[in-house]
Amino acid sequence: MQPAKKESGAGKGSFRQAQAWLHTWCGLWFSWLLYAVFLTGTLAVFEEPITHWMTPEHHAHEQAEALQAGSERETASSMSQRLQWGMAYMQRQHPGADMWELWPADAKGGGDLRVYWFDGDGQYAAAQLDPASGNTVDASEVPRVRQTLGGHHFVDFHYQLHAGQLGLWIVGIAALAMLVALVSGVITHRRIFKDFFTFRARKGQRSWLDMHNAVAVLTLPFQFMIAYTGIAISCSTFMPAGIAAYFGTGAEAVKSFQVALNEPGKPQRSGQAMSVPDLESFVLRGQALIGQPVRAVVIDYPGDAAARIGIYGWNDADDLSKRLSPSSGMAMFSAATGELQQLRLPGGVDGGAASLTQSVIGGLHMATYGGLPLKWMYFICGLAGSAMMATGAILFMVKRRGKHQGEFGSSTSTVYRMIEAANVAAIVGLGIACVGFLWANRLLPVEISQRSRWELVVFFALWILALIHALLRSPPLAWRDQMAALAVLCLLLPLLNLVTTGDQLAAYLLDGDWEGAGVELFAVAVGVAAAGAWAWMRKTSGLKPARKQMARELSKGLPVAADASAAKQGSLS
Amino acid sequence: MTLWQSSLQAFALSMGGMTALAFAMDRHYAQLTSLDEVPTAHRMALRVLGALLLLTVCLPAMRGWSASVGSVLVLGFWGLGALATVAGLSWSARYLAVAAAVTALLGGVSCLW
Repeated sequence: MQPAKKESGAGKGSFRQAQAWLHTWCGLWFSWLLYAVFLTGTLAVFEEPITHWMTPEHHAHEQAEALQAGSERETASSMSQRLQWGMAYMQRQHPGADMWELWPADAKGGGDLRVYWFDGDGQYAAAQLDPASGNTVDASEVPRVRQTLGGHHFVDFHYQLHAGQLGLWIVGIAALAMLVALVSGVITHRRIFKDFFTFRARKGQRSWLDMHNAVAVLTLPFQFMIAYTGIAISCSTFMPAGIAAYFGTGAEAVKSFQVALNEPGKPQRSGQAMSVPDLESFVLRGQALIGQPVRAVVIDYPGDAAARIGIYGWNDADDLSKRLSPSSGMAMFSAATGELQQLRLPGGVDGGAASLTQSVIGGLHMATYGGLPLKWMYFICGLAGSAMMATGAILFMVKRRGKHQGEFGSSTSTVYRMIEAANVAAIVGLGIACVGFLWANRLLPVEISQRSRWELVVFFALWILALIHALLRSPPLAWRDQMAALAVLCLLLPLLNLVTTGDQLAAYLLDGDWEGAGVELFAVAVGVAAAGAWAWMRKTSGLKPARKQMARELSKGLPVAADASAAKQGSLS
Repeated sequence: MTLWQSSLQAFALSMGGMTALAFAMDRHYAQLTSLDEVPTAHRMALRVLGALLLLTVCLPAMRGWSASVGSVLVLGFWGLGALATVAGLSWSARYLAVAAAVTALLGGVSCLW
């Protein structure tokens, strides 16, 4: 096969051709990682429902609580009683701690009573108290809950890849590459307005290009926003020079920056002893000032005369849906004089326009505003973004299946083969890993130690297996096998749940448990789509009797059903 | 008015607006009629109607949420409306025309309510 003459390259051809070159290569090399970041980020929109589904023991507990809610409400302890119990516990157990934090009740004055403090190592520690008696809840009384990362796995993976700072940098660079690919893609797309509404189905390469253009162009504002805000959230990591110049580098410097940013005007210990005053009057004043029920009472330097008491509020869901900045109200008092030292209204920030911008950027990225409809909008746009990466990566190979372009010299065929395998493992393999993560949640024994780590092991192991499978099997068969596996795992998920926990989809629906039902319904929908894709690939490959015809078909053929002979040609040449 | 009702109105108006803009283009007009080119009067009417419907999306977005959140949501609803239009056009231009007209009308009337 003669390599086609290259028409563009870095700095070759017209401006538009150079942009096309940039879009192709920048897009290709980052597409797999970006697809993974996008798909898991999209699932992260529904972090709470996924966590809910993954903690069925809690779920039974929540239901029992909801049933008892009416009767309990009357006998529930008052706010003042809860505060006293919290204080009594802290004075008894952690008199020397630098900070006490009481979460007395939920927004309605009921629910759990929790306390937090900084232990001797400066680590955040927590305990739960019985809201009916004030006694510590004994760990053995708490229902045995399976240890899991829940939906947080998807949050963590999509911005850190479970690799801490290193992962954050990798994802940040990929997001930057995405912005480059978006801009160069818009420049490359000659007919952006003429083809605005165009999708021509069943036309091979043309269909893939139409699909790639449609999902990208029509959700372009979202794609720009999500990539840009994703980078900007972590700007202090990516652009550390400003902070380094003022505060220096190293752990201490970071700490003093955090204090200056989050706790301006924090006093020093005075060394004079003073017991913490009664909290209720502070709570009542704080609630009146911020107009929100109390969520947390934070006491800095308890037992010292310089102590201060911060009252933080619960955001009201309806109010939160109407503002871009998600911060809650806060009132800070001096414990000694009762003087108001600092006041932040809901949605406001300390630190002026830059801090407010940062807060809004965070809110925009994490969909804290707008309520449930907005979460669905982010979910759909996120899926469109994932489809943009997937169709782009597939299109790269569809274009080259019929026409060898010789970009990699004598190893072009090998590299094409690798790219095909990466496409299969990144696109379908990741789906298998995600649903496999849910399977692991139900199948791993509840008592196993480091259980949540094992769930992650299953996630990554399945993904690696998918890559190995894709490298060993010819591309069309790899697509089909993995699509079938995805379909089976998704479609059987409700059955697995029924067998392992006794919970079932119909019961979720009858109980109005939309979180539990939503997870399973979405899994079933993905399963049906995957089964449809599998059947389509099978049919398309069956339609190609002769080899010669195959070659012709290839150029219009479908991604997935790229035929076996192409793969053979690839591996032989 | 719940957020879901506002969302439905905004989506209906957006889909109607995007569909009107699509049918103002020769390629999609031809999918609907036997004509290769949109007559000038039709083109103008469809464009004005489309632009008006897209502007009207601001109403439910601002009313259901707030000016700041609403202005972000308008962009999102335009995108979703356009995706629905593309899907509809590749399915059946005729059904899309009917569906978009009905939903836009319902969306518009419910906004006046």
